[in-house]
Amino acid sequence: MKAIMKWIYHLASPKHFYRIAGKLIPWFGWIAAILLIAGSIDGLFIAPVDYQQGDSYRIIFIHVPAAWMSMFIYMVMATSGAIALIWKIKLADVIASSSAPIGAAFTFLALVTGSIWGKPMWGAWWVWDARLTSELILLFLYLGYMALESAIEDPRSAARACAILAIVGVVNIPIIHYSVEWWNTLHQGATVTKLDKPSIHISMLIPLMLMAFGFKLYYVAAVLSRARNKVLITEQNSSWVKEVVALESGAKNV
Amino acid sequence: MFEMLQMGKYGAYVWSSYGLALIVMGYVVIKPVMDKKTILKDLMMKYHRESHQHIESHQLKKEQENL
Amino acid sequence: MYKVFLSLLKRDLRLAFRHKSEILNPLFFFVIVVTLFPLGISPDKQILAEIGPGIIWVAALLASMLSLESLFRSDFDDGTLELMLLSEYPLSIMVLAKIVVHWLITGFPIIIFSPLLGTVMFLNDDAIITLMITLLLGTPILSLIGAIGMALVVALKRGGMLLSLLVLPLYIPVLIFSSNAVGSSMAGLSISGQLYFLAAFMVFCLTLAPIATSAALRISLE
Repeated sequence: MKAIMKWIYHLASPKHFYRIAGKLIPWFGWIAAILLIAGSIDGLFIAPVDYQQGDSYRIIFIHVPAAWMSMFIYMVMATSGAIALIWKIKLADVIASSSAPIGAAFTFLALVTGSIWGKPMWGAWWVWDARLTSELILLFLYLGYMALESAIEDPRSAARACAILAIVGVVNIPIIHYSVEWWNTLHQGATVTKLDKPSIHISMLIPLMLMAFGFKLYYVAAVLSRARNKVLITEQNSSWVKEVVALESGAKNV
Repeated sequence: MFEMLQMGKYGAYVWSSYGLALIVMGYVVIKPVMDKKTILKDLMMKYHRESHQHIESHQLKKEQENL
Repeated sequence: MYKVFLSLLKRDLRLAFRHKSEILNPLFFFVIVVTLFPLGISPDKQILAEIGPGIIWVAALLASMLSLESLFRSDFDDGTLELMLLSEYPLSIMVLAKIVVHWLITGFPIIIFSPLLGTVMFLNDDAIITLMITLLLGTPILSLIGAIGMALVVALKRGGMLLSLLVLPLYIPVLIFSSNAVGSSMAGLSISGQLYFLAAFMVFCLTLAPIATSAALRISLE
């Protein structure tokens, strides 16, 4: 156990993280790109037309994975916030704060694509559908997180305050979700066709899964590259950053 | 081919969704790359300044000693 | 431990009664906001009865949120909060005492005045009783969740707007279930499910919110 912890601390040291993340980013990035391109081609052209919704259902290959990611990233933020609070691993704070804008972007994407999908389906750009309402509240949670982070000047206490907020938020998300679902079924009845269907055909499931995995890997690549930048700034007075800066900007000038 | 791109009557909705996803996700990955460039430049200048200050203060000391 | 809780409770209540505006202002705010809606929408009996539960609850939500400043602000400014952090007693107990005081000076007057507002919004007797029960179960939740948000922003100079961004999304379940319970009882439907949810949520917040609040205070004051 001790050896494992030691190994984790070693990996989580900013210097090692910077080096390893630099090696991992292209892998994750390229595999994500391949998955996303394959998923898009499959979703746009190969998957059969839905007999009810026509071609408009092809939006769900963006909308549903984006909605999944928006929830997943908030969980990551809360988990890494808790790790940072308990084990004092600075890197976990960096991951949490680097995740927030990406999560907000996915939430925004899920909201807008849901609304675009809703226009031909419901005849209106916005309907107080359970999923869209939950996404909207989730966007508020992300915006609150980012507002708190930018309001506190000292980055260390900002990170810790944000960790608390994320944990409180993640505890509340299921409750909010449940209450919105309940409120929705009460007011809308069964007339609303849900974005995700209870049973989905395999030919539609494949592009959905391709996109979902593509989004996950994309997120890893994006969060690592943001985290690398943050590490450079917070560690700017250490000698290894000086070496890195000399090396990388030198390489660019040549 | 053109009919395929039209997606029945839903072409505008589908393509705008995918286009928006491309723009948002593209921005999210390009932003840190751009940031990195400015960070490297800023840090380069900072280190440069610091080393200069170091030399200058060193020279100043020497001059004072000579006086 | 119980003694600490009681003595802090007494001290804060005495302080609150010295500044009567701390008690009266949220109440006035609550009444004024509710009054605005008939003026802004229509004095029609049916419309008001339809939107009344939601409006009274939104007004209670905002009144409770805007009065959160009084929870920690003055103690932060004069350094009492720092002493509390250093004391040997568990911080969450002291925090809970402060939250109880906040509820007593903001939530409780709102409950007392709610029948009046229910009447002017043309709620029937059943709905008014339900309104009081939901406020009784719901306003403590508002104080408890609000305390976490206030603890996070207490050290900031302009935390007011930020506080609403942090706290309002978390208030949503309370708003949904309470205003729905009032509306349902107006229609003669069963409301036990909503009340059970509110009671469960209150117990949940009562156990966890003081801990989260004290953790947030320690971070804000370090």
